[in-house]
Amino acid sequence: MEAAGARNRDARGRAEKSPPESRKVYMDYNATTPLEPEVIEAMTEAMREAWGNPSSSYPAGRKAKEIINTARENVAKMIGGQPQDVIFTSGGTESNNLVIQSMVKHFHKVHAANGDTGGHPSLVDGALPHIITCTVEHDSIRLPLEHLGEERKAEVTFVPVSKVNGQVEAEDILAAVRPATCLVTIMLANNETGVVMPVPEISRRVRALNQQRAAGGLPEVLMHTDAAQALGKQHVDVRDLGVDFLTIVGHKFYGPRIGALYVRGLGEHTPLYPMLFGGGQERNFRPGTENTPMIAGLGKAAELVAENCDAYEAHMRGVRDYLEERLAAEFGERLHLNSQFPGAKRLPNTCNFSIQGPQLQGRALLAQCRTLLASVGAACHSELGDRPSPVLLSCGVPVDVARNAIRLSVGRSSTRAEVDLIVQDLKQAVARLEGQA
Amino acid sequence: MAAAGAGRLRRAASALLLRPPRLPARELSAPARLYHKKVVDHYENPRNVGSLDKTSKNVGTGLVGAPACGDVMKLQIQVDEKGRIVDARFKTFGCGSAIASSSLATEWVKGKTVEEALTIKNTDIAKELCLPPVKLHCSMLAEDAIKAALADYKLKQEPKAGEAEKK
Repeated sequence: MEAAGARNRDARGRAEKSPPESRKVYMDYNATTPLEPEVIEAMTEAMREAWGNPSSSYPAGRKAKEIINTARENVAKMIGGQPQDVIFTSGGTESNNLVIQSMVKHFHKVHAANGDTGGHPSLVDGALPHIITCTVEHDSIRLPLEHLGEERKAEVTFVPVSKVNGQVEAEDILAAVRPATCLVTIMLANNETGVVMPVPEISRRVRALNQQRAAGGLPEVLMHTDAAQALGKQHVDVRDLGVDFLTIVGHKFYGPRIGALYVRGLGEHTPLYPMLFGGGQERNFRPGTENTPMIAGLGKAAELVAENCDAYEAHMRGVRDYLEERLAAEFGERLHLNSQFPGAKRLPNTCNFSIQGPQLQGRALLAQCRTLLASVGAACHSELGDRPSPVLLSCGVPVDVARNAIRLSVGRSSTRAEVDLIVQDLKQAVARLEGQA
Repeated sequence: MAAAGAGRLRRAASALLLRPPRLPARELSAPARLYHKKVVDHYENPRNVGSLDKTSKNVGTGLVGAPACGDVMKLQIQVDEKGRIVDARFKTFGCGSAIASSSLATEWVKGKTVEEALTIKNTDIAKELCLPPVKLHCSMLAEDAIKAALADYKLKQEPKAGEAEKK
């Protein structure tokens, strides 16, 4: 994306003789981000110099081990946690699945049909573990939970988000807690609307509830948050969030396509049951010979976030706010900002909007754009065709508006100049679609 | 710094003048992409290029933009005891529209009070210079530069002046 800046200067140097149609402006950073140059450097260096097996005792192996340890420290620092509470995984999907599987296994182990480990008949005898989540989660949370529900291995409550502010309300979460509840998992920020969920408040109330539950012999309710979209865009600190588990996804903060899982007091306070069994790496919580180059990249990306998050946030917010101003100036009454909910905090980079009109379905409009690269929602939902996003519908956006939705998500190198270009592009695309009536 | 884009713009402007118009038929309906004469005027006859003494208590300095994004503007104002802007200077690294926007900004703030200057909007600058849609962000940056200069001036008037100056 540095190329964008270079092309900018280049285009100006030739005084607008190069047609704007030939350049592309990427505004789909919520789908994925490019790698920062320093990240690529860290990765290639690891590939060249640290290819040894990190479990080997000779220098080549130890060098790889050091790189992994440093990366672990950097990831921990980014989220305000301890290095020993961080394990590396293949990505957000694995981390999310790991938490869910682990909690189900833990529930069965502790509250098996013949009573809990204390020898007393368990209050939740025979019950299935219960998990609470919300209706706008990413597929890697929603689908494992639905699957468990179908297989009768767990019961799941999908708490609907508020149609007023697009958030899930702490009240509704607490109201859904049952004796057999063992996990609450709520995403920190939604990928389509950018709405930030009130995770600290939910954690606080769950923790208060746990004190009462402990007295009554009920299982503790643990908190998980999928922080994929929030990292690198706003401050994420596990101490402020009060969570027991947190999912980290590299390719959303200019890192490589792996992830990590934070577990508070891993192995001590909070249990984690592995999905994979093997060579003992990651203290047996996630065995497999470590992917040193990717881990090095993740560590470097995390280091950049820890150092620069405020600057990134301020920049993205500035560009996104300018984008919304220009869209409003250009489309006036026809514009509907789907990601602006009164009273809700949102990510600084996301703008989900619809331009009203019967021919302006999101995908059709994007197809007409010659400069803009964006999406109508989650990248993994591209097979939905013209059906409107279920996430937007859950947030109370009317069907005909949701059908026209486009999601723009700006990044660290997005500029106001790019905003001007894509607003022009959208204007021309709308004209073309409506002219073809 | 205003000279930074100079060579390129001058060559481009002269290239446009020398080349005979031979637009293909389909492009006749598209608006010609030339610099508006008001922009060229600010470019060839810049007003208020230069610097003021940034250590002076009556001078507010606004520095906005980033070289990576391709636009940097420095705008300085000198304010008298009654709160009226008596002088303004600018230095801009960027395209012709950016130079024109900041040049116009210095013209407009002169004679205004600090409060009045805060009301200058990017849309006014863009309208005055007839900026094309793809250059509207330049006027936004000029508005930011004005506000940054005013903010810096206000900060200096506070009793605990001497804080790090705002960008």
